[in-house]
Amino acid sequence: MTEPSAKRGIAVEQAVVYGLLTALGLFAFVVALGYGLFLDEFRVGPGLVPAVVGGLITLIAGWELVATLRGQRTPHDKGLAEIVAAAAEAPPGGVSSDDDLPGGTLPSGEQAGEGTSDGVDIFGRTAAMRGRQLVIVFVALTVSVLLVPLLGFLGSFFLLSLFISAAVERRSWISATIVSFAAVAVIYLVFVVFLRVPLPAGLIGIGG
Amino acid sequence: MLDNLVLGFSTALTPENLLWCFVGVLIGTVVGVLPGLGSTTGVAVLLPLTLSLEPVTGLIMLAGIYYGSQYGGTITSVLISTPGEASSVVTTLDGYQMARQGRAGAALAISAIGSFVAAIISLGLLVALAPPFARFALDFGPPEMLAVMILGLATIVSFAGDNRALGLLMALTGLLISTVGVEPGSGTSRFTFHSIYLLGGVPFVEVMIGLFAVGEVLYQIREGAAAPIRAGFRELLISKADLKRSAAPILRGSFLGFLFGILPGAGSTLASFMAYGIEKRVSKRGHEFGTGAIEGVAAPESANNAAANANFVPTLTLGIPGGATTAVLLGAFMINGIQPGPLLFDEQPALVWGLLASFFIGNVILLVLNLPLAPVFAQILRVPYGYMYPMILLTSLVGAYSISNSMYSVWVVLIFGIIGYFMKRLDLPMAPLVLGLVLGPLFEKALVQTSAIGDGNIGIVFTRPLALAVMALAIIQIVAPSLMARLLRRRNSSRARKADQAAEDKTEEHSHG
Repeated sequence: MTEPSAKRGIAVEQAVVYGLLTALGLFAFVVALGYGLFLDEFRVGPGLVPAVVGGLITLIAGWELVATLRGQRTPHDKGLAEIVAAAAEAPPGGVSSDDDLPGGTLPSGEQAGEGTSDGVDIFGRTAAMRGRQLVIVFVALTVSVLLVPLLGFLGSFFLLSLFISAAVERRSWISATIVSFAAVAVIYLVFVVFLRVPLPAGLIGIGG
Repeated sequence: MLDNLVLGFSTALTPENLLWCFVGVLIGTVVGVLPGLGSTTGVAVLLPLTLSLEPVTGLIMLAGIYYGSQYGGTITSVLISTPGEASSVVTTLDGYQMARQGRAGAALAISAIGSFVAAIISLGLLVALAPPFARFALDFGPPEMLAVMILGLATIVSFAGDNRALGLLMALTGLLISTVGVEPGSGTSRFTFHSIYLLGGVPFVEVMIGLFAVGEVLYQIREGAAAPIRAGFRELLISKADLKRSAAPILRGSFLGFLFGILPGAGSTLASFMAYGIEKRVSKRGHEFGTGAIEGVAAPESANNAAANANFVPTLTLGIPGGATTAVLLGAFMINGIQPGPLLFDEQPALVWGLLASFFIGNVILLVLNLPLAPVFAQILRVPYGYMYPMILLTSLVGAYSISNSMYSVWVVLIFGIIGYFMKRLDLPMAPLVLGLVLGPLFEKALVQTSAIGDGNIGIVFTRPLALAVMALAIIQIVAPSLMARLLRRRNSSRARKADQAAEDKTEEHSHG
């Protein structure tokens, strides 16, 4: 986390997201004006909520965008939970000088693995490799959904599982095939046989 | 009251409901143990599976996942200092220290017992308080509902993340997404871009599966795998002394957790933090906290379980979810055609009381499962994430499809999956977005009705005393954290000064002696 490049990467992503949200809010605001803010006698019309919400989004996201562009990390004014946690962590009298106090500063939702986010994980993958992996998994996911009309739900998700297990997670082809087949079989049993969901069979007609 | 409980237990004790209750709490425990999988994800992924069940059976199972995960989340907090659930983060402080001292068994046992006691206390309170509250809420007009929804959003904004501006931004984004589709009042179609799919609005169960399941998986891939766990076990027994020390913290944690859980918008995470903080101040052994004090495990673990149950008070009686997981559960109600709210207790007594009775049964099952089997559950951690996430992805996509038998749902999941990934990466809180999305239509309806009552004047909210009081509470929620922070800082610095003084005195004494 201390690497400046990683920090700048996050800042760029932040700027893009805030920029998109600003644009989205502005768009919603302008479009909502056309829906009519008020009905007769100033009763709330269909455009009022989206216009007000869109306007507020523009203001807040725009503010965050400017702050990010000016190089400020978002000021994390802490919520109540974090304040209490912080108060609990700074024990009066300094009893726990135990320096391996675990996870004391873990914000909720983050894991202990976070500390190694720029390091190498147990499979010897670097952050850059994991980033690539993420892109591959997401592209594979999208492609498999696009393939559903052709291969059917079960067919294309068998391929997805096979691809992720073998190519991304580097398991042997045999175990990847077995695991993927088992997964698709379980899904078939649960959804098609038990829940009677008519899964699309696709052109070739696998499953469904 | 007694009739209701009898009705509830006769509903919950049918073999089918009993079976699914067991399945729910078992899955909940597993979901709680797995660090990459929270209760919200678990409920979102498995929601489509329950659609073929009776509504009450499906809800019993989904609720079981929710409170079951409160038990499971503790196991990893204690054994490897990696909370499986956000609400167990604070348990790592003392729980892991206890495990290092070879007292993991005692820590796990006390948290199971504490969770159980808290569950029973909070369920008693829930059963006693929810019906009168629902009756009271029957008198709520649109202005009061509007105020309560604002309170819910204010609470979640101030507690969900560490940055309130971003929380507000996400809540607003959720509200904006909820306006997509045909506006019921005037029939105007908003933001539909001539798409027939968008006319019906953005379906929120799919959004939740996308955010909490797919987004979470993508984020975990980016974060990398955590080291596999080797959990050793020495002592499983808990001593009488431990039980005696923990009794008061468990009771305090239970009531405190219930109080926080009952607030619309405040989840069990907040309750566990508050219980730890307050216990530290109140307890005679407060100075031992952080070094493996059993009170530091007992109090927050009781509190998070009590809060999880208390969350159902606003969810069932007002239709306003207490947190992210109850928001997903609210989605489960709605997709079954049930609208939680004050009328629910009168209209669906078998469902409400069956659900509440199943909580009692589920907690008994959890205690029986967790006391002897916690180390067994911990073994699940040996399954590497690489084996798990393809399964989570497949289940999410197929589950989403089965909600309305349409590929549109699958695309919604995929799109919100990538949005969820970026939200996690950039620390944008998800709970406010989900709550905004769920409350959006109700919020707008209440707003329209309020303006109709006031003949175009929304200011009528301020002339209704109850609505005014609730709004005041909402404003306090937003302002309080800044005030509290200032107060605590001042207190801490003065305390630190005193402590320094004391330490100096001590060293002087020593040098004299």
